[in-house]
Amino acid sequence: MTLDVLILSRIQFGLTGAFHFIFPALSIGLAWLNVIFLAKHRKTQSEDDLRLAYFWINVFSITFAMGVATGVVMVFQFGSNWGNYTNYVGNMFGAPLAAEAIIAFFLEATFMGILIWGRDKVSQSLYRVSAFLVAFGATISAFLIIAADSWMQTPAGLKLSADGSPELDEFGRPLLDNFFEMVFNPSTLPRFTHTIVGCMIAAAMLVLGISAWYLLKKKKQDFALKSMRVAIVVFLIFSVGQWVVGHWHTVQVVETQPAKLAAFEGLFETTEGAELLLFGIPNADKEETTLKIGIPKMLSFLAYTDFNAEVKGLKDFPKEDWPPLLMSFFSYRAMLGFGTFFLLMSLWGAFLMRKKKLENATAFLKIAMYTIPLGVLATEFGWMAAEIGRQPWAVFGLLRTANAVSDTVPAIQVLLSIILFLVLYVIFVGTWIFLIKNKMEAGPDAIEFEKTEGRIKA
Amino acid sequence: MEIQALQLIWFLLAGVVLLGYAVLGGYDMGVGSLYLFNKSKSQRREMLASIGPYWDANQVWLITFGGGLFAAFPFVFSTVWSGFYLAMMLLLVGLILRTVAIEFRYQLNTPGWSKVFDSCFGIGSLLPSILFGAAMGNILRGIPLATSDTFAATKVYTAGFFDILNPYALAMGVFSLVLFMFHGANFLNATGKDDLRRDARKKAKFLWITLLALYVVVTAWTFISKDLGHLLQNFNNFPLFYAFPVITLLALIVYPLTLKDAKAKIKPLLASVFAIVGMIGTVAASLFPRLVPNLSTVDKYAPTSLTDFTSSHLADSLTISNAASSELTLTIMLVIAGIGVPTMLLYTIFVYRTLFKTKAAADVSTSAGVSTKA
Repeated sequence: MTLDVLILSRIQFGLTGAFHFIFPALSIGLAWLNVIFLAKHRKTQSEDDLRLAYFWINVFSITFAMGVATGVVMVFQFGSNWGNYTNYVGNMFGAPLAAEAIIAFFLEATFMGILIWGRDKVSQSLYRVSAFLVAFGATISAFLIIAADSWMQTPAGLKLSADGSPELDEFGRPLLDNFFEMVFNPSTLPRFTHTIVGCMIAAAMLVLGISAWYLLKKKKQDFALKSMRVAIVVFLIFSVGQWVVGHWHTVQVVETQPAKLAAFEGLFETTEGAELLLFGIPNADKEETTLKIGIPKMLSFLAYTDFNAEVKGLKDFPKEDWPPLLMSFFSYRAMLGFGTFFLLMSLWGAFLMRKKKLENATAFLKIAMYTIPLGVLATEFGWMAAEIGRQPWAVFGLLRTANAVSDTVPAIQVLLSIILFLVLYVIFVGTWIFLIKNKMEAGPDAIEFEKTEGRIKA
Repeated sequence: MEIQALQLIWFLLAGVVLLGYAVLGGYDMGVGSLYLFNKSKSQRREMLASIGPYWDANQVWLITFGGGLFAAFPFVFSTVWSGFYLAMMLLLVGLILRTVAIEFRYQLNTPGWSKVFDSCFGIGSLLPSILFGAAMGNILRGIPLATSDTFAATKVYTAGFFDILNPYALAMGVFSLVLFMFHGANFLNATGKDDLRRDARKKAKFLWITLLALYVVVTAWTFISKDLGHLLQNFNNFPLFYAFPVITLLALIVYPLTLKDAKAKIKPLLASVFAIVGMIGTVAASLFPRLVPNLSTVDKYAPTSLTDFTSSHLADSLTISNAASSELTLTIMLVIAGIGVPTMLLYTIFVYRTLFKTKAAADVSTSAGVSTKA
């Protein structure tokens, strides 16, 4: 493998995307938690509850900023590194991207201004509405970008010619036929729901873990318990829900991208009553999966609700259309493993909460604290499974990734930009973690109030 | 709707979005660059706070411009963004630095922290300000284009990174930096407290004379240079277009008068807004119907009517016709923009008004000796 523009651009997109995704994953979830915290304060009108909300809004705002900083890079790369992708999908993909900016980015960015700078200055109700609009805007933005990304997985809404192949315009690009079908293509809704649920889990784990840190240190216990209770409820609901949503998504992949499922499962031969692998090492050269540990017939059941159903194996597809097996197989498994952990962990937390034993449950608190990153990591692995599993296609079945890259960018320049981004991102992610740690140590008491009349109470 | 009408509308809309960014993102870029040249700690804090609530939404105009180009003129998005690869990456680095700096700077107050993020904010504003102008200068001048090997319908940039650094583009880079700083100084004059206002007005005067001088130089350059004749064609054929440079010139001439009243806040700012409106208009009028002129064939053809933008003479350049998306895509985008943009303008105005009202109230109570800080 030579370091050409293609491979370098893929590394860069994957790298910048992986860094970027940390922040929207957390901030979408945190944005909704802010809404919940502010709603609690609306009822109690206690200063402690307002401090609590402001504390998490503060954590949210520095996380959101990182998302903005790393986000512009993603949009620009379509033009700079994936020029021929841009050329080919111009009729289709640009519209949801532009809509995301017009409908969602403006909304969240504008009301972010009030959320950060309008504290204690605007009326409580406007402040709450702003928090809601930020969360709403972030979610719409997630919807539109996932719709666009899902279109790459399961292209729809194209104008088809008589033989079923896409009709091309005078420039050789597929034509849009139905915008609604494009946005609501077969994978949009399962993937959007799956991602948002993942974001809620990631944010709940952050709040849970930080609260656990306070409880372990026996600091600000009241604040920590209040935050933790909300986090555990959210964590539980979404960890359970994720299995339902995840299943819905799997069934959709079975229908629309069977080669991808076969790669996830390391399944080479088309099999009736296929087993669900817990572990294995797929080998594309030898066309077999070794060291298999699996549950018999489970895969057939999960995919078709029938223990004996036939599941297509990789060998049914031309080898040049196989995704990279090891990476899709293991990232998919890592995601599933984390999902299992989340379910157990949230059940444990809910149990402790019911027994009112949270503050002394040292083992639970320690695990909660050290596993903060897993919520984000699970979304990262899910995303890797989805996008690596889509390879070798940029647009599934229509445009190969190899044909999507820009024509004239010198490889050395891409190498240079990778290094630039890597250095910047490592430094800034470190700074972000440092800052959150710093906010934790300062605690909610460090938040300054401007006690102007009527702002806190009214 | 006629495809040609759609293409024309999207050309105008792209101009409006670019204008939105130049006016809104322009002042916060300018404030960021001026930040480097202000050593007062309290004024610096005030400067950053003055753009704090708005810079993010301002930057969305730029993202909308990128996304809008992708949707409406995808060939322009790919050709320019990949052609100016390193410059685009540097632009991104600048934007990352300032975004992080704006949000992180006042989260901590240790000397090292302050120093690093002060520089990040300043340099992260200065660098993009220059790059925007330099990119514009290159587009105006025309860039070398050749037919793409893999996607024959479009064109690719064929020169290297250092070709971007031609004198005309560099002059435009300095010009846009001074323009944004001038605009930023007027914004600070409109929103700052007494000391900051005084400083901003002083700098604005100096920036104004520099800007005027640069404007004359760049305009004269455009008129005199043999390579830039294509930029004048539209003005010769449609003299009405001269209204745009005249707007800029008038705004710049009137500007010192707006400063006479030391209390004037909005008028000087309006002058720089109009100067920018005139400039973006001038750029659009010079390029039409081209979006990216081809450097090697650029001066061969002058459109003689405003509906003439499919002529084969223009085939070597990227135009609003041969770089556009299909009719349905443009129509749907128009519906989205038609609903989305007015809605966005409504809530943006609401938020600006709300925050300015609370700020005015806070300023009054502080000056009356009633501290609002707990």
